[in-house]
Amino acid sequence: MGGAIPGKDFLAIMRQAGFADVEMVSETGFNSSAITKGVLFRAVKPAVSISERRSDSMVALGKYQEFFEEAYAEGALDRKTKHLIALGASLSAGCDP
Amino acid sequence: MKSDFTAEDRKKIEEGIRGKYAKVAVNPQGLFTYPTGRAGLESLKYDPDILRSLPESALESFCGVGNPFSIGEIREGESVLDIGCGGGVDTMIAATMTGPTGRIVGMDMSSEMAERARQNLSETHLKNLSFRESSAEDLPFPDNDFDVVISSGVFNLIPDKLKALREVFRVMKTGGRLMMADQVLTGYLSEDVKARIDNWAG
Repeated sequence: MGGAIPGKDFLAIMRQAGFADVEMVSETGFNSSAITKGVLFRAVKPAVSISERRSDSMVALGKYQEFFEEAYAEGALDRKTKHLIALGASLSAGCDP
Repeated sequence: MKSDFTAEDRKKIEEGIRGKYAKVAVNPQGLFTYPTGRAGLESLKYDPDILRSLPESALESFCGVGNPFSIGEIREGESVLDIGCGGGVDTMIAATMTGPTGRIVGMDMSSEMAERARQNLSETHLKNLSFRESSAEDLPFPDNDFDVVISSGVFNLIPDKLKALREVFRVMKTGGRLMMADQVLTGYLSEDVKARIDNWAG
């Protein structure tokens, strides 16, 4: 049992390997020593791995940033006026700017 | 969670595991602190109908630490990989659950255990499974190959658990399920790395 590790550490390694819905379901009652216990683990390989999901959200954030920059670009109205209009609109809509 | 063992440490760990399981392959009784063989299977509530369909001599080689089939189903026609299959009892049970259209592979790093598993298989009528010798840290299978991966009492023996789990992830299909039993640590291990390595498979 020299290689056994705590259950929560094993769950963390499963997540690190990419698994989702990772859980320690129950104890088995079969213990190999006084300081180890038998347990059941379950996990699923997700359709999109967590690292891919993270990169997807980075793409979405980048797109929003582009839209934001475009909307506030200097045009018929300058950037400062656009920001003040947005502030007024958000205050009248009850938003906390 | 340490995996920073030297090559020599890893060799010692592997030798310790191989040494123990060469004996287990002959007869697991008395080498574990929990029930093995048929008594173990019954106390873990394995399906009695499936147990009846397997030869008694094969059931005797069972030395799992839990029942992976108790936390999820295996469906007809699925492909299943059993990591550290030992005498192949769980592998044969999975093969019974998938029926003849399923594909089951059991792998073990101990050549004695893989040989015992083949011998056990030869006493059945199952045709949908095979056994291979390999390390769990380097699986000899293509990406997205299996619907389900099962394992019992094995990952605690693996020095680099992250590497092995990444391999499991790689060979599983999207939506694939991992169902495993293992021993986890609840107390404190010796800080002495040598003592831990000497008692790796203890």
